[in-house]
Amino acid sequence: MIRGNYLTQLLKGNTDVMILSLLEREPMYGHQLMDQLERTSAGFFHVSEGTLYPALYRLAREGLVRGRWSKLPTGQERKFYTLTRKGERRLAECRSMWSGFAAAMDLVTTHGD
Amino acid sequence: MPSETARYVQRLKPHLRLGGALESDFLREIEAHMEDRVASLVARGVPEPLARRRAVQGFGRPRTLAHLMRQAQLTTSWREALLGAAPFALLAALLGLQVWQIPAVAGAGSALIIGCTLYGLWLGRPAWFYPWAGVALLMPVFAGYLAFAVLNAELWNVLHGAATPYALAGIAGAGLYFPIGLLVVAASVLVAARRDWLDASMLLSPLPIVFVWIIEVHRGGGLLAADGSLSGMAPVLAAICLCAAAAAFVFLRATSRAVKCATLVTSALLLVLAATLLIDPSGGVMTLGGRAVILLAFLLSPALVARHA
Repeated sequence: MIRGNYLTQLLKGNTDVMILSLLEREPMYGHQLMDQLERTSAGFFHVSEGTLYPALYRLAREGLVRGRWSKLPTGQERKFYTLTRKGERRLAECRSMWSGFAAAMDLVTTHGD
Repeated sequence: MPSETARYVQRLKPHLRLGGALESDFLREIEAHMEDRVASLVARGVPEPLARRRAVQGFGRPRTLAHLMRQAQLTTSWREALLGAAPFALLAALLGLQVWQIPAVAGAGSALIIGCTLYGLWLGRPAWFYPWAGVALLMPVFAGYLAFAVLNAELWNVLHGAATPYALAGIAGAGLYFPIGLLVVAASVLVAARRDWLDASMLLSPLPIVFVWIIEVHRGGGLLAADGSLSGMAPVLAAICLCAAAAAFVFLRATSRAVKCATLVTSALLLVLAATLLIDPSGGVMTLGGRAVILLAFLLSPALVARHA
C-alpha cells in the first residue's frame, strides 16, 4: 500500500514531464501517448485517461503543447499534440531540476553517510 | 441501444461545461480515444463488450473527469490575464483622461469592447472573455438608465395633459426596454453560470461600478445637468476601474477557487468603501455594512443560479 501511494505521488508530480518528453520525440495523439509511455517504461508507468487528458489540456492552456487534428493513413482523424518552444524550454528546465534532484536523492538514500 | 462508450460520453456531457469549441473538441477526442482503445483490446482477444467497458473505466467517473477538465482550464497565462484586465484599464483611461464625453472616443471604445466580446464568444469563451462581456453589459444597463430617464420625462408630460404620440411611443419603448434588458443580463449570467459560477460573478463585477456612476449622474440631475459633478467624480471612478483591473488580473491568474473568490469579495468591499466615500461620506458603519452585504449577495448570486442551472 505504501509502495502504491509513493509511486502514485511520484507519478502525479512527473506526469507533465513525461508527456513533454514523449512529445519531444514526435507529435502524438492521446492513445498513442499512453501506449508509448507504457512501452518506453517497460510497463512500469501507466497513466490513466482520467489523468492524461486533464494534463494535456492544462499543458495546452499553458502554451506548452499544441493540439491539431490530422488524418491517419487509415483516414481517421486524431488530435496530435506537439511541443511548443515554451514547452521545449520548460522541459529543459525540468530535466535539469530532475538531474539535480535524482543525484541528491541518490546521495541521501544510498550513500547518505 | 447505445454502446457503453457512447453512454459514457452522454453522461459526461452535462457535467463538462467547458463550452463551445473546446467542449466539442474534447468529446470528439475522447470518442476517438475509446475507439482506439476498444480496437487495441479486441485485437488482443478481449470480447468487444468487455473491451468497451474497459475503455470507459480508464476515464473514471464522468463527474470527476469533468471536474478535472474544468480545473485544467483554470490556468490562465499572463497574456490572457492582462487581456482580461484590459477592459477595466480601458474604462479607467476613458474616465481618467476625461475623454469619455467625446463621441468619437466613446464610440471607438464601445466598438472595441463589443468586438473583443464577440471575438471571445467566437473562441468559445476563454477566461479573459468574461471581464470584456461584463463591461459590454454596461451598455444595456446604461441604456436602461436612458430608458428610465425617457419614461420619467414622458410620464410627467402625459400626467400633465401632454399625451402626444411622441410621449406615448417613448413610454411604450422605454417600458418594453426593461424586460428585454433584464432578459439579456439574466441570460448572460445563466449561460456563464452553467459553466462556472465564478465566471458569472466576474461577468457581473463591472455592473456595480456603473451603478455608482448612474447614481451619481442621477443625483447630479441627469446626464445633461450632471456634467459638472461628473468631471470631479471621473478620476475616482477611474481609480476604482484600475482596482477592478488589478482584481481581474489576480482573479484570472489564480489557480485556486478560494483565491478567485477572495479576490472578488475584496474588490467588492473596496468598491463599497470607495462608493460610500464618493456618494455618501456621512453614512455610518451600518449603512456601509448593509451596502457591502447587498453587493456581495449580488456578486455571489451566480453560485445559487449554478445549483439550478
